[in-house]
This record gives sequence, structure tokens and C-alpha cells, in this order.
Amino acid sequence: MRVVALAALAVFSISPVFAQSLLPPPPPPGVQVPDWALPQSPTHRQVPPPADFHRPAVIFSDKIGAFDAQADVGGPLAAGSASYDATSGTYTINSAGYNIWYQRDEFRFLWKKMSGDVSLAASVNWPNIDDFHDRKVVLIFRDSLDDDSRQIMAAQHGNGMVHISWRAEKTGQMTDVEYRSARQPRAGTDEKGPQTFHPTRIGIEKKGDAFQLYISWQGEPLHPEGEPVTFKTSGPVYVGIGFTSHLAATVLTAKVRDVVLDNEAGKVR
Amino acid sequence: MWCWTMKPARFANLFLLLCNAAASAQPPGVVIPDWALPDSPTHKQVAPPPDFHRAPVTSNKPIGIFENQTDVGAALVPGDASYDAADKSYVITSAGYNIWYTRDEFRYLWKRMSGDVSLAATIGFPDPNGFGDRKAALVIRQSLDDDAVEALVAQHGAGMVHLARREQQNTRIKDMEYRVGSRGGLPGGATPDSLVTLHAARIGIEKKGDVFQLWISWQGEPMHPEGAPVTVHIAAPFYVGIGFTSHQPATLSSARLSNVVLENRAGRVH
Repeated sequence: MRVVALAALAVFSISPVFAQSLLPPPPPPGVQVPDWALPQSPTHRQVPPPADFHRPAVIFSDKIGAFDAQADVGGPLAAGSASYDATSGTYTINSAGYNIWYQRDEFRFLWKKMSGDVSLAASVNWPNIDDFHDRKVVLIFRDSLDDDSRQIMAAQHGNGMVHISWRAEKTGQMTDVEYRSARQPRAGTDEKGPQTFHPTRIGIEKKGDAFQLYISWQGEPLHPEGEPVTFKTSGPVYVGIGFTSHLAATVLTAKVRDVVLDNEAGKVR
Repeated sequence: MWCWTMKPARFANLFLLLCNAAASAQPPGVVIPDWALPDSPTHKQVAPPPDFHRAPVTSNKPIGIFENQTDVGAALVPGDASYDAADKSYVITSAGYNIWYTRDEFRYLWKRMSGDVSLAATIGFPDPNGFGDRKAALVIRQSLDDDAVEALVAQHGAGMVHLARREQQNTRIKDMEYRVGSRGGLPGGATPDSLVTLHAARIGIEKKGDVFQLWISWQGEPMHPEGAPVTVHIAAPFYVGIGFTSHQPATLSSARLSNVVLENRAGRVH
């Protein structure tokens, strides 16, 4: 009972720590968001989607930058969009989507089909750092555009957390290894609690069936982080970048720049 | 260092359990000042009084590759250490309120060196249920004073690894911290979605001139620089070594530092 009380206390005492909002905004008026699609909050316990729930992807044949086409994987309750500015090498991705987790996903996906080894890296900018903390940009490999596809990805969250995560079996649950960096508040400032370091750049390398996460936390050269994850592939896979707001019906925006996409290993930079 | 409170709500329960792994009862007859108590649900951790210091207590006991050992900041209970040549491992036992704020209390095994340094070790905690904030550290310091200029990397009982530095004597320490966990990929989670702490496989520190870099291997991958380096001026000769603090002012705990590598040049952290 004491532990439960302490946990409850912690839930309500952590909000000053984040620059980002820990509290999800209310869904837009007129959209019916199912309870299972709501993120964790002090008043709601996050749960997986119902076991047999799926939505087809909405596919757009628009080529964009280095990618051949786009899709709203999992058909979120509000449509996504994307644009590319060749001058600055920046993709702007707008997406709603309950999450990329559990046994199904909802996110905007910019992809091309590739075989063999791949190096993929990018830097993430958040146009509004105060947006919902659990939104994430992904560098991702998928078998298909189904919402429950097998997949493996590197993802950077709005709160600075980076993970390598994977769904080893179709419709299976996700597994991850997650990395966080912060510093303690400076004396003589009004900083409260740990101050997050948002990574400079992230990457993922496919070398056969070994997938390696790369991170640069503060401008140091991108380096492998943790051990590689074995994820079986056969034939061409969908490779690309994506974004989800982690809010079922609310579109948020991420900017993804300086994307490196090479059809060989050892080129993450 | 106090407990990390930046977890999203769904981790809070697990984290509190890790973080507040209960402090042992105080030893009889030892008077512990309030400022020396760690953060807990019933106590807010604070810095030592600005003018508070204790002289180091040196044991005059060479150990392994180190010249000597010292209770920096003279914790209320004396520390100890042992060495096993078979795996170049040191077990360090120490009390000590912390290595933080303007002064430190920890058992320090050291040698004096000049120039560049590569220092690495694999950290283990014999008591897996010990206080979450206890820490084993690889420390380069200007002196044995409790408020010395220093740069250190430390692995905490609860898994956090940081690069910390005190840039001027008797000033507050600063750090950069790294935390890793897995959901679904490590044993021990209450549910498949519980965040389970991943403890680093090995940590290191490299001194190249005045530049100090944290090195790490999280899961056995080759050691690599983690995060930005920091600049601290520590004049030669300085102290280089390994240490441990229980983060409890009068309660002993232990850490094992094995396969300790110490070289008098940069680029040799492995």
C-alpha cells in the first residue's frame, strides 16, 4: 500500500522535469477516440489495442526526396502528410497515430523497397519542443505496410529517449532497448530536476540480419550503442523514415534532416 | 545524486522500488548529521554546509597496481579494500554520504601520475539489493582533499552511469548521465512491458591533456566514447584510481571492480 501511494505521488510530481507536455491534449472535437488508443496519463492507464483490431494502410504513390512512396500505416483517425525541402535537406512529417508499439502501429511512413545491407541515419528537429513527450521519429525496416508487420527501428522520442525496438513476429508484441541522457540542474539557476540531452543524431545499420543502433548524444561521432539485434529478413524490405504523434487523432509535426540512406553497411554517419 | 524522477508515469512504480531500496538502520553510537542523509520519501537530500570538511585518512596499504588507499572525506565508518590478482579485481568497502556537491566521501585506491591516462573496469555489486545510489567510480583528482578538483566516471547501483567533474576546488560538481533499460528484452519485468534496467558491461575514462571522455560498453559491444568530452584542468602530478561510496554516511557497502586496465596514455581504454 505504501509503495502504491509513493508511486502515485511520483506520477504527479514528475511533470516539472519535462520541457514537453506529459499530459496528452484532449482529442479534437467530433472525433471518437477509443479508450484503448489513449496514452498513459495520471488519469488513464495505457493498454494495448484489442487483439483483433486492425486498420489497412492508406497508401500514397507520391515520391518524396529519397523515398518512392508514402503511407499512413494503421490508418490513423486523422490523415498525415509530408513535404521535402531539397535546399535544407529536410523532411517535414505530419502525423497522428496512437503509437508504434504493442502488436500494431499508426504512423506516417516514407519508404522505398531495398534488398541487402543498409545504412540509415538522420537528425531530428522538433518544431514545438513542448508537444506531447512520447511522440517519435523512426528510422525503420518493415516486411510490409500492414499495421502489425514485423519490423525493427531506431526511434527518437520527444522526451529525448532513443530506442532500438522490434516486432519479431507479425502481430507480436514489441521489444526494445532504450537509452536516456540528462544532467543534474545547475546550481544558482531556476532549473528544476534533471535536464534532458536530446541526441544530435541517430542511425541504424542493417548488415545481413544484424541491426545496430547508432547514437551521437552531443555531437561526438555517431557510434554503435549497445549490441546488435538479430532480426530475420528475406528479400526486399520497406526502408524509410516515419513519425507518430502518439495521439490517436491529433496531428503533430517532426522535421527530419540530413538523411543518409546507403545500400551498404558501414555508412552510418 | 538524488533519485531520477524523469520517468514517464508508467515507470514510476518500478523506479521507486529501485531507487529507494531501503537504507539500512544506522549503526549504534554514530551521530549522523541531517545534511548527510540521502534523498528518501521522508527526507529531502541537501548539500553539506559550505564550510564543512574532513581531512582524508590514508591507510598506508599499497594494493594491486595502486600505491595506497584513502578514505577521502573520512566517512563516519572507515573503509577497506582487497585485491584478487587472478582477475585483477578489487573489492572496495566504504561508507560515505556521497561523491557530489562540494565535497566527497569514498574509499579511494590511487597512484600518482602525470600526462595522459586510460582507465577502465567492469563493475559489479555483490549485494544486488543495496542502496540504488551507491556508486563505483574511476577517479582522476588533484588531491586527496574532500573538495578536490576532479573528473570521474561512475556506475551506480541502480544502473545510471555518469561523467562528473568538479572544475574548481570546493565548488558544486556537474555531470552528464546515461540510463538504459529494456522492455521485453531482459528478464525480471513485472509485465512484458515493464522497463528493466540494463547495467553497463564496462566503463572507462580517458584523460587526454585537460579533456576527459567517458567510454562505455552497454552490452559487450566494443567500448566507445559516450557523449561529449569535458574539460577540467588538473595539474601534474595528480591522483588516478578507483573508488566506491555507499551513498550512506555511516553504512558500509561494497563494489567489485574487475579487469582494471590503467595505462599512462590516451587511446587505450578497452
